[in-house]
Amino acid sequence: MNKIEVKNVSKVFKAKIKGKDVALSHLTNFFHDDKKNTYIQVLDDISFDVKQGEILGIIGRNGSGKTTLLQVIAGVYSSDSGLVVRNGETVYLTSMGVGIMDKLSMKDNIFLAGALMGMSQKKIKDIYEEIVEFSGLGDFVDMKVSQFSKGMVGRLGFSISIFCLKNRTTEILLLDEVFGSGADLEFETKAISKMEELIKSGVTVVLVSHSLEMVGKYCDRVIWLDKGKIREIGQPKDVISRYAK
Amino acid sequence: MERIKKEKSRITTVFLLSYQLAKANFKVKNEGSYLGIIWYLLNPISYFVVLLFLGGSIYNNSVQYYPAYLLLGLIMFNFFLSVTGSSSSVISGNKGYIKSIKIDPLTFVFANVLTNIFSHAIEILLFIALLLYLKINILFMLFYPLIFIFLCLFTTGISLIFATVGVYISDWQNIWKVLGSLLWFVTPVFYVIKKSKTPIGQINYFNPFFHFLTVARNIIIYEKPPTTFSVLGIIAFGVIAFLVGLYIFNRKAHSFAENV
Repeated sequence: MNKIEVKNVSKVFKAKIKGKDVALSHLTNFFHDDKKNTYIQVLDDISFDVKQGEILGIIGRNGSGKTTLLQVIAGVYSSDSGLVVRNGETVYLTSMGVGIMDKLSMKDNIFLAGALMGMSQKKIKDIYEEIVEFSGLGDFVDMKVSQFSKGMVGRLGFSISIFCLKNRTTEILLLDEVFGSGADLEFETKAISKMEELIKSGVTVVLVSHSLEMVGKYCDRVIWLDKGKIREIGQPKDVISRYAK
Repeated sequence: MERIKKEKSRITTVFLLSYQLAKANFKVKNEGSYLGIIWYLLNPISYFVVLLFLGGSIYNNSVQYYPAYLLLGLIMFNFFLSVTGSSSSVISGNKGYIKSIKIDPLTFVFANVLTNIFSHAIEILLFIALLLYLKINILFMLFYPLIFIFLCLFTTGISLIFATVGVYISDWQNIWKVLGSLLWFVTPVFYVIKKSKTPIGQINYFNPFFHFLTVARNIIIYEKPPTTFSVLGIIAFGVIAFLVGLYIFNRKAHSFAENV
């Protein structure tokens, strides 16, 4: 059974021109548009599907359309043409620690970020201790995050995201460059093994990463995107070796 | 029927998340200190003192309970201006969330309204204190939540429209600052319209705020039943503004992520 079906998906972005989105400009353009709009083709006729439990990797250079493709699958962007079908509860994660507010305490941030990830307050209460323990920041729960180091924020963000994901029904996981919490080596090792546990738990995963090592290690199939088009799709070893050349 | 059920469940989910966001925003604004709340009162109190002095000298105590008349008008109008003023940047201000997690953008509009409801509640306490000082029966304040529901619907509806417009017109916030000030002067917040046939009276016939303020002042301060026309007016303004706002917002919400 296919968990994700992407059929002939295309996406065009309108390039933003300075000064074109002010009220006066809208008014004058209505009568005489002297600045032509520029369009960028970000995705061009993309088709593939992902089977249940499969881990699909997407690689490509910066600007090749990887993140946009993931955002279209997630429903953050709508496609201009084509069709995207998701058969199951989907979570899109672009970075660990979405929703962390500097001026709030660590405790308040756990409850806020958890809510943003679709958890009820009761559920967050249940996993609160686990999050604090995994992060190793038990002594700082009442401290404002603005006083945290970058590594500590990374630890907190990763711990919230991973435990929320583990404790909610997720059938499709869309991960965009989520490896690497920015914390020390000890936590990084712990974080990677936790991530591995999640990826291998049987959920369907689409993984965007620049880390060819990670893509090669976890993915069943890999798509190489180039200028918004699928250049190659196939076994990780073959696609990665050709891409690396 | 299925669509209504879906929309109801969507609004419930959005509302619960909005409440968490509003709570967080309120904490951030006040830095977790109870003293921070004083800042919310400072704005209406300073306006109140200046206008009380100005209005008092114009009306020479001819308006019964003028201080209560003025303060109620001020805090109701301030709630509307404060919510709508910030709503035009509510989507672009949260683009980090909108682009990185699957979240209903309606959440941010509701959160903005809720944050302002928290501060409005504090202003209402100030108003109750004034009623007690003026020895006005505070029992009629029990009607305020009912009036406030429609004021909230109206304000949310306008906010939804402004939030949508703000995505496409970056200087909408500045435009609204000017238009909002004009509306403030047109609405009898600190003055009294004694003759409805004057030009300002005719204009206010179509001004939703004139009806909201008249109904609230008549019931709470003067213990007078409002006219059926005014009551129907505030219900209609509230419900229609909300439904129109929701319709416009829903029509455009799918393209917010790529336009912010």
